[in-house]
Amino acid sequence: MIAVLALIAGVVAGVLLEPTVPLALQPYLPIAVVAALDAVFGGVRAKLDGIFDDKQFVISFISNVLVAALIVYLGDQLGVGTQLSTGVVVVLGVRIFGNVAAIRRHLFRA
Amino acid sequence: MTVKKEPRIYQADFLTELFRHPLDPAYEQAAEARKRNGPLKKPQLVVRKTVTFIVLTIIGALLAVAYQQVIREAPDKEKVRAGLIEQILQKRDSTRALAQTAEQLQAEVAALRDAAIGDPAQIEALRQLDAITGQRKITGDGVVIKISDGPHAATVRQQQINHYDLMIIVNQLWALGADGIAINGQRLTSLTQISSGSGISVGSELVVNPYEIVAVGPSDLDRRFTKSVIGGVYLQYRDDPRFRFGFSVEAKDDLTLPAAVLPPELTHAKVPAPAGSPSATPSSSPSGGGR
Repeated sequence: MIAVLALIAGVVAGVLLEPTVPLALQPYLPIAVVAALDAVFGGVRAKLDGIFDDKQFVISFISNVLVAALIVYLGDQLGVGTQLSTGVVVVLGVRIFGNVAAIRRHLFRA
Repeated sequence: MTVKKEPRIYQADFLTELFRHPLDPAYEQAAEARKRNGPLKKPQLVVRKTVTFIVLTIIGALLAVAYQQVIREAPDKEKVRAGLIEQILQKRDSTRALAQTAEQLQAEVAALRDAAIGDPAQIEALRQLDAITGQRKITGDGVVIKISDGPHAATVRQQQINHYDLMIIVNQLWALGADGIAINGQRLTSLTQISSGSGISVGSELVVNPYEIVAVGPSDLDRRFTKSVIGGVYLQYRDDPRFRFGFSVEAKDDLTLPAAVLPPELTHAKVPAPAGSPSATPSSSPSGGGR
């Protein structure tokens, strides 16, 4: 419940403050969003499994975003940025799907 | 306790493993550790909850910012596009203005030349020559031939109009006695080449589909053209389902063709040097003669 409130508070803050993203960070934004979604769905699933852990959640979010950004940065430097971004999106996407499926089984027993 | 699970070090297939256990294994390890060590102390718990709250707020803000960024970028692309279109229109306007100035200047030059020549018969002869060579605006009756790519020209090469088509039609029109011809507003002279590079060029100008060939000449030029071999071939192929390009021949009165914008210099022809001048004598004759 508190978690949902925090998310909403963040969205509201983002909408109201309208921070401008520096140009150098803009390529990382989509990847950061996917990494954040992975962390959130993983957290929700863990919560439903009864094994949620605050420390684990925070670390998984931060490391997800950092690793994803690092991979995109390296890819850009090596000239294979799009391919590596695709790789990151595929891996995180598979995890998101798997976790959402688990959440669905928890909530609807189906 | 650790024997219960398969060791994860020997995963052969990362993707299969990913599909089977999408949840970060660290959650389970943390749960086990909690079971072993008992619940956390209160102050530590409060700190962790607070950090989680902050991270979730950051995630929410991240989602909002990313969304806004996407929304904001869309009009940016539109703006760039609109800017480019505006630049094109401006350049086109300035080109038109320059062409008009060039035409005025050419008319001025012609008037001055006429005044210098003085003899009406010679002036008239010169004007005729100017009109035929494309250096003077020409008006009169003639024919408008419209030819355009077929509906699948991008993939079917037989439906695509190429520079040979334009060349063949133009040559036929010259042969039938046309006094002046323009393709998409570009007047042809004896120096204008119709060539293909990236697209079709008439002189130095790129022309694009649909093509409009306007010719001024004898009043029955349209009939002569449709009766000619080339005209007949194009009319016949137009109705052939394999080609299906657009083609029409139409007689029109009071056509006006603009004067051609001439290249500043002739590329191959040279003004012959007056006889007896030193530059006319070949300069390479003494080289290697004695030995």
